[in-house]
Order: sequence, then C-alpha cells, then structure tokens
Amino acid sequence: MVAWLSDWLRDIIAIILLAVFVELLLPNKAMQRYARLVVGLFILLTILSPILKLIQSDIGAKLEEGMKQWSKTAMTSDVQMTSLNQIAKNAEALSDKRALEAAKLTERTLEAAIREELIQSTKATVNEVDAVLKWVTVSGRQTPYISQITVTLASVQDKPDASGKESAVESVQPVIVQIEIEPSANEASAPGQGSASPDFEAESSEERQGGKWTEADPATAGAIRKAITRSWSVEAEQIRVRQPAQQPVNK
Amino acid sequence: MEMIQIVGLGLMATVLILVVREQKPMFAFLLAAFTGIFIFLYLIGKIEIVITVLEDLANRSGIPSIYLKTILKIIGIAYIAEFGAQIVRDAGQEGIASKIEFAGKVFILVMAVPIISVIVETVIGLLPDGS
Repeated sequence: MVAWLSDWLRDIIAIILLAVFVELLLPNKAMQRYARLVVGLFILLTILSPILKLIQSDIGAKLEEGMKQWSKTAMTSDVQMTSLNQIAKNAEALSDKRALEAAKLTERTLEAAIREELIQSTKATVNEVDAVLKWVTVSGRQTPYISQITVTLASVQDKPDASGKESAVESVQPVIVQIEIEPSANEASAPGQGSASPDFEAESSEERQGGKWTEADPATAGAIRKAITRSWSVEAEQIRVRQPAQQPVNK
Repeated sequence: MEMIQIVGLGLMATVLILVVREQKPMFAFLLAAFTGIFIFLYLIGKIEIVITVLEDLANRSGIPSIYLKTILKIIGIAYIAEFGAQIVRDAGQEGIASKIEFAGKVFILVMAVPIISVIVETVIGLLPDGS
C-alpha cells in the first residue's frame, strides 16, 4: 500500500516538475495558456490514474492509439514534400526523354540529308531513306554513329506506268539499298562513320532467302554505292544493294 | 561567453539594420530574418540539453512516454510558431503573424484532443449506466 502510494506521489511530482519546465521553456504568454491546458490535462490524468486503473486497465494503450491516429492524420498526410531522390529520378527520366528526342531529330535530319544527296548525285527516285543511329559513349559523352541505312528507290521502269494504266501494271516496287558499316572504335564518334549491327546482317540474309528481295539493278546500285561512299565515307565492299522480288499487286 | 556573443551579434545586426533601413528596407528585413534564424538555430542546440534532462526525469519516474512526447511536441510547435510569427512581424505583416500564432494554438489544442477524449470516456464509464 505504501509502495503504491509512493509510486503515485512520485508520478505526480514528476509530472508537475515537467509542467514547470515546460512553462519555463515556452516562448511567450499566448502559447503558455494553451500549453498549460494540455499539461494540466496530463496532471489530471496522473492524479486520476488510480481510479482509472480501477475502471479500465488499458488507459495508456488507448491514449497511445489516439495519439498515433492523430499524428497520422495531422502530421504525415499534411504536407508531402518531394524528396531529393524523387527529384533526381524525375530529372533522369526527363533527360532520357530529351536524349531520345534528340536522337530522333538527328535521325530525321540525317535521312533528309542522305536523300537529298542521292537525288542530286544519282538522279534516282528515292522513295525513302531510313537511317538507324546507335549510341556509343566516348569519353563520358553519348555520341551517335550510323549503324544502318536503308534506301528505298522507286523502280525506274515502273515510273511511266504509274500515271497511265493502273491495274495492268505491277505496282512500284521499292529498291532497297542497305549499307552496312564495319565497327571502328576510333571513328565511332563522328556520325556517318559507324559500325554494322550483327542482327541487321542476319535479318538481311533471312530476307534474301525468303525471296522478298533480289539484287538491284547493277547500274543504279553502283551509282548509289558510289554516291554514298563518296559523301559518307563508307567502303564500297560494305554496301549491299538489293531489289524487291517482282510481285503483282492490284491497285 | 556565449551570451556575450549572442548579444554582440544582436547589437551588430541592429546597428546594421538601422543603417541599411533608410536605403534598402528589403535588405534590412533579410538581415533581421537571418540574425533571427541564426540565434534560433544556435539556441536549439542548447535546448536539447534541457530536453535531455526532461527525458531523464520522465524515465526515472514512471510517467508514460506518450506524455513526454506530447509535451515536447507542444514545445516545438510553440517555438516554431513564435519564431515564424516574429519574423513576419518584423516585416510589418502583423496580420499574417497573428495567423501563424493562431495556427500554433490550434495545433497545440489538437494535441489535447486524445487526452480529453480519454478523460471523457473515463468519466462516462464512472457514471452508473442508467440503473
């Protein structure tokens, strides 16, 4: 009984000391009134604690639960600051996106340039130029190199027919000129000097077996080869010129 | 010694602010705010000692730790609200300063809600139910 009484008294004394400290610590009078209310409630709880224990034993747990709920609703969900990690991640994603856009733009510009060049130098009707750029890291910077160029030509003999008779003639078949460039590490930094991709090789041989593509007209192919070799510094042996197999298509 | 440093800093800042205020009120305000922040941060470290004593006291007597946590939160809210309000008041925005203080008071009162609910529940439980 005496031990229990001394425990109780010690609690009360401690909480009152705590209250006095808090009063001293508080910065101004206006806040003091409010803090005094809360601390007074604590003192009340401590004084009442024997009765509370008689009635219900889990008063502390209940209080703790209430506090936790309060801090969950009031504190954590209140303001969500963006963390530094999140910002860094966003920046990375943005810069990736920007690099992709830049690569696309480079590809388009390169295709237009090659097409212009071919039309001017060989007088061939170039339907489409498709350049595939690959990226290599040279001294910390991402630099592009050409891994594949596909030139699609309109067949020369089909040109007059395309405007005249429609159904009787075979449709325009594209001539595909595909250039493969051997990889060279020191030249990889400049666009236009690049390397071939092995999967491209496999793809082209497969296409040949399928009968979809045949060797292009030697004169046109030679002219295109020469033009590309001259302006984009690609070796002639690495250029393969192919033509699609003739297939009748009804318009 | 530290007291002399702080007072010296305050006096210096005051003189500088008085000099600058005529030409550039903006810089005077910045100077005042910076001095306030510096002293505040400096004293936060000192308050830690007092808080350690409080924690020790609470641990030795069997006060539930939730009491101490709540009390420390109240102190923190009071200090931050007071500090912000004073800086804003220095800039002449009395209205905003009083709103900040009001927010601090509301938060302190919200702290009391769990305690009050527990007490009310207990009192209701004390009453004989209807018999």
